[in-house]
Amino acid sequence: MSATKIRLTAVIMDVLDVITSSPPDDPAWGLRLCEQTGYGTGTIYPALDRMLHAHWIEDRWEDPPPADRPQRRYYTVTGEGRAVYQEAIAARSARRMAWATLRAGGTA
Amino acid sequence: MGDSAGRGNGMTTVAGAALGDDERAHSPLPPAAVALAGSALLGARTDRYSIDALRYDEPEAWRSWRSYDYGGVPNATSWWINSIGEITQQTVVAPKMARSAARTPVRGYPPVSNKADAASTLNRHHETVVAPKVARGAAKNPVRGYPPVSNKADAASAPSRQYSAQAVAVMFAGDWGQANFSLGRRRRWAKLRGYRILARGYHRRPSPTARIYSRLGLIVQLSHSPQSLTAVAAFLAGREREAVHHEWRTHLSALTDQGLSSRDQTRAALGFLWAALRYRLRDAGNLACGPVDALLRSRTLSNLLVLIPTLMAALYILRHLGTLGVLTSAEGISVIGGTLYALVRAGRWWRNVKPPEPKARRVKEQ
Repeated sequence: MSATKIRLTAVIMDVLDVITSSPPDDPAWGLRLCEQTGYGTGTIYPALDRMLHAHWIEDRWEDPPPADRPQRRYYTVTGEGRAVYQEAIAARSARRMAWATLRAGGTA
Repeated sequence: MGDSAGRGNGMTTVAGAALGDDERAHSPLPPAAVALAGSALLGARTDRYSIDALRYDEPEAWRSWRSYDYGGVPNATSWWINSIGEITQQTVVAPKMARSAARTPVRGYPPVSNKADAASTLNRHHETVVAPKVARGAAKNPVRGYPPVSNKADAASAPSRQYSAQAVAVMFAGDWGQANFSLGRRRRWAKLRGYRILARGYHRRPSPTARIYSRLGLIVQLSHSPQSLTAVAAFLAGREREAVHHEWRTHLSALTDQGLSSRDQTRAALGFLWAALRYRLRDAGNLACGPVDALLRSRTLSNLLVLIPTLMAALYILRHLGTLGVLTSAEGISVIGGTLYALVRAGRWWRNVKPPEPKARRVKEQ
């Protein structure tokens, strides 16, 4: 499957925020992403699907399956996804800095 | 029959010993072979039954099919492969319908008990079936070595309508897996882990809708329950996204564990439906955008898209107004070309495609 390119929307960024900040021993999964980002299931799962197709994240099932609840599908960020995310974070901070500079210059 | 089920005080015990980890580790058949054997067995029945569980990829997934495929005989039958590779079957009859079912035994299946409401055990491979009436007792008195029984089984398996009887409940198989399965006509789901849950809603006669669903492979009857909505959403999402069904059920199950209300779960299930629709819309969009992407990705085709209408407009003006007309209309012609060019660029940006870089001109060596 060839990787498709997707746009870095706010939802994608928020989801990547949560996935990248999740510890390796407790990775992010659907419900947690919904809770931590505040988006509904109708938003989170399509975003996850897009990122999976773009190879920004990868999924795996909880192993071994726990006895007291169903298996969860965990998501972790790939190298490509991390690079895109860091690039976007850098661009966002640059934009914010430029905006702050502009505001400071304007008020001075 | 029932030799392994304690009665009287509502307590259920299991005589059949569960297989330990060591025994599982020394299973005579590899998982793939076990799965293959199960598939072959199920495959032999596919002409008669719609087997929804075949969609599950896990080799340990247990297989079952709906009762209305038996022509209305109320029962629930499952096949599964236990941890030592044996293929086992179990038929359970709904308590209320047990007598009529006993009069109409299903050919080729073990005889059904008309005491299924107390507890029924085929005891072929140490499985015990606990009827709904004793599920609560089992929850209060968990069997040692097994996960605790959810006391929601009782509520979930309670008959919901007159003609909807629920056989069944929990089967202690001692081997893998968890199962979330619908119980009853309204397709309530029981969340009982570590057990096999055999449960069905039965109609006196298979309804035409049930027949259609069965033939289409859409086993789930539409209802308002979150689980049914989720199943429909998974169906809409398509076979290439089979994993989302389990994922979404896990999501719903976690919501239940958190004690969220049915309304919250329904909201989540509606979100799944919306997600499935978005999947499909995106798939359709990607399919439709294939030719557009090809056009935008090709520099030649893009140029033709800009040039042909522009030249046609110029030729039209030339034919009717002459050269002077073309000169005076140059602004309009250039607007046409510019607009088309802008559309191509915008399309490339929108679809995130780029044409290949032009080949560098070969510099002739002097």
